[in-house]
Amino acid sequence: MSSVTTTQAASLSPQAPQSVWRHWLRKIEWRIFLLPLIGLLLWQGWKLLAESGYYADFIVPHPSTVWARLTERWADGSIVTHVATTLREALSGLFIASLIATALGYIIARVKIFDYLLTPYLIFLQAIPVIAVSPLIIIWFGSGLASKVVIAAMITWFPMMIATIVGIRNVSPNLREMMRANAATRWQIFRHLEIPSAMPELFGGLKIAVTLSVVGAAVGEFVSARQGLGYLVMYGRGISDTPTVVLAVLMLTFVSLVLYSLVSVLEASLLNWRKAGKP
Amino acid sequence: MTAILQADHVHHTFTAANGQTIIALEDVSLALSPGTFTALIGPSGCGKSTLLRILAGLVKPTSGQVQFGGLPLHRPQRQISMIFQKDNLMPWRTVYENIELPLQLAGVSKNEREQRVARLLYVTGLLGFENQFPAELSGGMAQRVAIARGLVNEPDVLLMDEPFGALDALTREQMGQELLRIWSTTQATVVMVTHSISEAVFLADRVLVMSPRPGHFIREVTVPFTRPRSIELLTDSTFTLLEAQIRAAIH
Ligand SMILES: Nc1ncnc2c1ncn2[C@@H]1O[C@H](COP(=O)(O)OP(=O)(O)OP(=O)(O)O)[C@@H](O)[C@H]1O
Ligand SMILES: [Mg+2]
Repeated sequence: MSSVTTTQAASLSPQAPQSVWRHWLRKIEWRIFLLPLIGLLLWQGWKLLAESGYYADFIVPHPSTVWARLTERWADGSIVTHVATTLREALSGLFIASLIATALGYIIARVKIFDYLLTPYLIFLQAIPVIAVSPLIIIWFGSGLASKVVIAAMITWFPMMIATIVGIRNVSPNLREMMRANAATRWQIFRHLEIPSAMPELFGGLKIAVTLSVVGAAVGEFVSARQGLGYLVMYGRGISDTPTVVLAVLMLTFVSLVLYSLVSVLEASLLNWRKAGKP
Repeated sequence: MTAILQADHVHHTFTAANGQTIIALEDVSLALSPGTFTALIGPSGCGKSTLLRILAGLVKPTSGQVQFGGLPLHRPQRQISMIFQKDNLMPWRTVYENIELPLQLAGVSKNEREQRVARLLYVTGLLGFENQFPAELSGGMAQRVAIARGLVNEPDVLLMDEPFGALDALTREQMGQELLRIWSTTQATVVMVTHSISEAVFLADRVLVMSPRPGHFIREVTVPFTRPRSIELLTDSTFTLLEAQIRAAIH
């Protein structure tokens, strides 16, 4: 009896053969087939607008000009540098903010006195408009990487902290008691109950924060920078080259989208249990 | 036989949010001999869950003492395991991983965990469902997972708070029989809270009847039937007599 192995047992798994088909059909993202169509429509609409003659080229540039800027900048490698710069700033800021915000959120959620004393100041901090203080941050941290990291962190810490607080507060008291009944240590409760239980909320916060981090980096680059997509926007404006501005904006959007998608994919694979029991 | 778990003159008082004090338990004494099955029955709100929590070391009684293996009990012990009224499964863990949890917390090696979980999957009839998540189980199956989790670390004492509370009468009878079968393969000392008089008599060696709040024991009924017990017992005349005695004590 005790020699029954899990592999043997797994083969008994109750799954009807035809439902395997359905399973795969559901797994395919049908939406993806719409993408080329939508893309084509947008491109043609934009082209029509640009070719209509109502707008000057520096107001609505022709898509082919923007495409030309991209190929130029791809050839000399500068677009990669700008993307990499913004990405590094955004992700460093998000990383630092996440560390601080989850730690803060955790103690606020678990220790009443911290909530009571700290929360008013943290809300005060969040009330400071980051965009308005960004020139100050540049003055204090210089116009290099550091200032952008700080701005990206300042804009992302709040959603991460709120997500942590909500996530930890939502941990089921019944499961807490069950863990205590099993003589679990503080660390074990943290590791096996609090973290997995708060995951959905944490991912919710991360999805907001990851796109905000790109905004933060770009804002910093608007004020003062030598590279990055935000810098490219300002550079294009400075030399009155609207296609470059449009290109930079499109690239910022693209970077945000990719980051968001990565978080979504990670979420779907880590939280696959949430699909359980749903039709 | 010396008691494995023992409560002496336990009192417990709660202070409600509005400042009102609620006496939940009043002078409760209880001694559990190793390997016995005790059923606890009493009206709603009389303090049964509170007593179980105190016996588990989850709640410190206002006064009185609890001893486990001759030593004062201050905190939950791995050798005492508790099955709650709600299944309390972790929704992000599979059936296998839920049952495995107590072993993981106790630092049991992966190999040994695998063997013990496999055995419990077998005895609780959950083989083939180990990769399912709790949301994909029926109420009875989820409760069986909770029971398997309570048994997996081979506890000396098993405390059960209405483990079949959420089940319909039919499943409940089946689960009761299954529990007896599973229990017969262990040497655990069991305390089980139940609302069902027939369930108490069918499962236990003795039935303790509690008074309305403040809870204390008003009656102790020893159940003479030998084991294994079969379902025909439910219509036995001695059985119905015991049932009537307990019913009279409650009302
Ligand atoms: N945390 C608490 N704070 C205040 N009062 C409590 C608390 N827990 C229980 N009580 C009170 O103590 C009494 C006993 O509660 P307990 O849960 O032990 O009852 P019970 O016998 O298990 O009831 P049931 O059969 O309905 O589950 C109840 O009157 C309840 O109001
Ligand atoms: Mg109760």
